[in-house]
Amino acid sequence: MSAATPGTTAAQAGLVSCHSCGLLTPLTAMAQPCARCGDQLHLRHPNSINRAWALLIAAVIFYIPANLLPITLTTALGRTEGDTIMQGVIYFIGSGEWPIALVIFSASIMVPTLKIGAMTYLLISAQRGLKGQLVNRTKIYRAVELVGRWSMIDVFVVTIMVALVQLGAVASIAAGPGAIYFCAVVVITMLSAESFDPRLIWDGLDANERHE
Amino acid sequence: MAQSGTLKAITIACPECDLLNRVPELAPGESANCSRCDCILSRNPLDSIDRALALNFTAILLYIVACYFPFLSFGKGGIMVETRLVSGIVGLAGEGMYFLATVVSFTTVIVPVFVMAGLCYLLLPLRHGHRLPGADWVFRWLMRLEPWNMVEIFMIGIIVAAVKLHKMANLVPDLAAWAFMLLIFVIAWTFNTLEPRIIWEKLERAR
Repeated sequence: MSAATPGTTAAQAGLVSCHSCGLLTPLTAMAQPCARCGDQLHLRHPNSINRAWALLIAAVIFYIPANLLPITLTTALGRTEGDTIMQGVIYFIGSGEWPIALVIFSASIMVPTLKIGAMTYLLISAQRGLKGQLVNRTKIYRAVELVGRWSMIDVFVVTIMVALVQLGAVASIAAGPGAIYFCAVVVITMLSAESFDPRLIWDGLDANERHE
Repeated sequence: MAQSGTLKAITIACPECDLLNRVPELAPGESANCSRCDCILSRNPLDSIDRALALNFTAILLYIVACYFPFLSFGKGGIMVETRLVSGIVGLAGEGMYFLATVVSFTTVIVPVFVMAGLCYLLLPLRHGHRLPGADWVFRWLMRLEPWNMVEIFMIGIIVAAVKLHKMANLVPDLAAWAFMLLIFVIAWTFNTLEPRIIWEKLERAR
């Protein structure tokens, strides 16, 4: 599918499509709520690029303590030990649990890193109005939306272990500070991807003015 | 009431690239994609509303089982600890981890319950061509919150935690773990059966 497929966009035709229900409304009636579902109409997500950037930068900042601080604190026979995300992965590799090591590595390390990189690329290219790789950039956006939520696995693992391992003096597990930062990274990057309007990818091709 | 009609031809602006597409008449089971970016524009799932309702009731029953029964039992010697969904959240809150407790309860309790209850509120009357007050608002938020419904991710969390802990002590998967497992498929299937366009058009007619 070539990016040069001819056609008219809703914006070029003087129409705005409702984010929620997809109903087409003339731009002149944009101040009113959508006639079908009552949602506020916007040509593009309001302040899409700025919001997505702000949230992404916040996520990058939180990403550092998320990886350096322990996400679990294990107390066994009076001794407390902290484990970071990466130590968790190494533990699973060491004990020969390859599939689980792979799941945790993908969900907690690979996905957040790739997601931050992908969002940076999408934002910079949309901001500059680049005209290349339109279909691929749309696919990247879809992948980010689809896969990002799976990073929550580690947060749930911590929750379950905290509830489960309460054997008094023998062993107990508590959530570490890293878990809070990691959870924040997942939530904030999801919000960043939600703020990004994929139509901005195509606006570079379709029009020279930016709609925000 | 049968739902398996054809959907009439319509112009749709692609939600991902804004291109205006002429979507032809869709027979049951057919779907249409954007000619430029391949985003799905419209689908016509068989008996969309009836099937989504049936699946939603299945999900509600499974979720009740998943909440009421423990999903893992863990212990050594005489002490066995049973874990329920709620006890994990309470455990985090008890440690002062309020942010984590909030996020976990939002994604595994509040959103799933809102989605399941909202679908009943919306679809039961809509099946007979009626709408209840606030139906627009409910459906809008259902679609918006759907990515935050993380019951299936919680299930993977159970598996990882089980593998992590099985060397420390005895670990027994309980009834709720199987309910969570089935919920993954039922929730995914429910949303696959639901076509927003059909709902919005029916809501418009029911006004």
